Amino acid sequence: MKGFAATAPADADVADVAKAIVKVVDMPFGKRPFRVHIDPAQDGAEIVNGVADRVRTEMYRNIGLSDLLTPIAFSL
Amino acid sequence: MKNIIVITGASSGFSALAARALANAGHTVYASMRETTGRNAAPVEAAQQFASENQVDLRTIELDVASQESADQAIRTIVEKDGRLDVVIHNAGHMVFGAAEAFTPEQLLQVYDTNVLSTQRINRAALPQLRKQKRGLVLWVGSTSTRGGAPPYLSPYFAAKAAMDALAVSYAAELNRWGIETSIIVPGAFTSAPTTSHTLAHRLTRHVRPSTTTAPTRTSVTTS
Repeated sequence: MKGFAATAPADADVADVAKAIVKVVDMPFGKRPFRVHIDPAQDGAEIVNGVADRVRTEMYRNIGLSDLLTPIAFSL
Repeated sequence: MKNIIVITGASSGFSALAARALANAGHTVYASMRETTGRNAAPVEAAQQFASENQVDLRTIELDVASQESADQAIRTIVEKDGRLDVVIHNAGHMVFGAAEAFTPEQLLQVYDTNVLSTQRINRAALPQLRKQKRGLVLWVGSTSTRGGAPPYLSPYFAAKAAMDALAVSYAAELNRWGIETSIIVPGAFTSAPTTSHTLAHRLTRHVRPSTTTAPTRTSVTTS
């Protein structure tokens, strides 16, 4: 566990997660990111998620479901 | 725009911090947790104090994510009071430590219940209202462990977070059609936690629920 603990920089601040949540909530509808990584240790998830999410998008397009990739903005 | 927000597992950790930050940003935040009059009376009081000192709209509400009835009641109360619900934040979680083989299926199920099935209960309680509004946001707090390099001996938690992430991805597409947006927040490892001086370092501040299981070799990663 010591080795794993050492991967996170000492100045990594958990408050950054809360800040990221506020930022996403405050974004306009339809413009919010599908994923936000807050990963001071850089364990590689952002790279793999990036690939996986892109492949998912391609798959939805290929099967004719690209309309499900973004939320419908109904007029309220 | 001021949003009406409910966040789960808000007695401690990321969730307690996020609830305060959202209230500071001008939103109405329901910091939900179980046992608000019992074990979590102190976090409830702390939230009330924060709200009055900072003149912000931070409220607490009883919600045991292990109970559909409790989830239904909490969402009903919010909608009755505020007339709507704009944002649902799935954050309740629980981590246990130990060799994968050492956990009984029942113990694994309990970890899945808190981390995965909890979101299904909240969704089934809240999504009808969001659909009715034709507008909403579902925000999931995941984990880098699901796709990044992750250490051993945390298998129940990592497996559960992977399940939650897969659920979130499928939900995202299905909800887009109803005007409900999805965002997945993916925190990694942090060595410090806001509500504790423990430094058993990992993905940590999500241990919002003290253990109710008796997993072998589990260490004191729980912080509340």
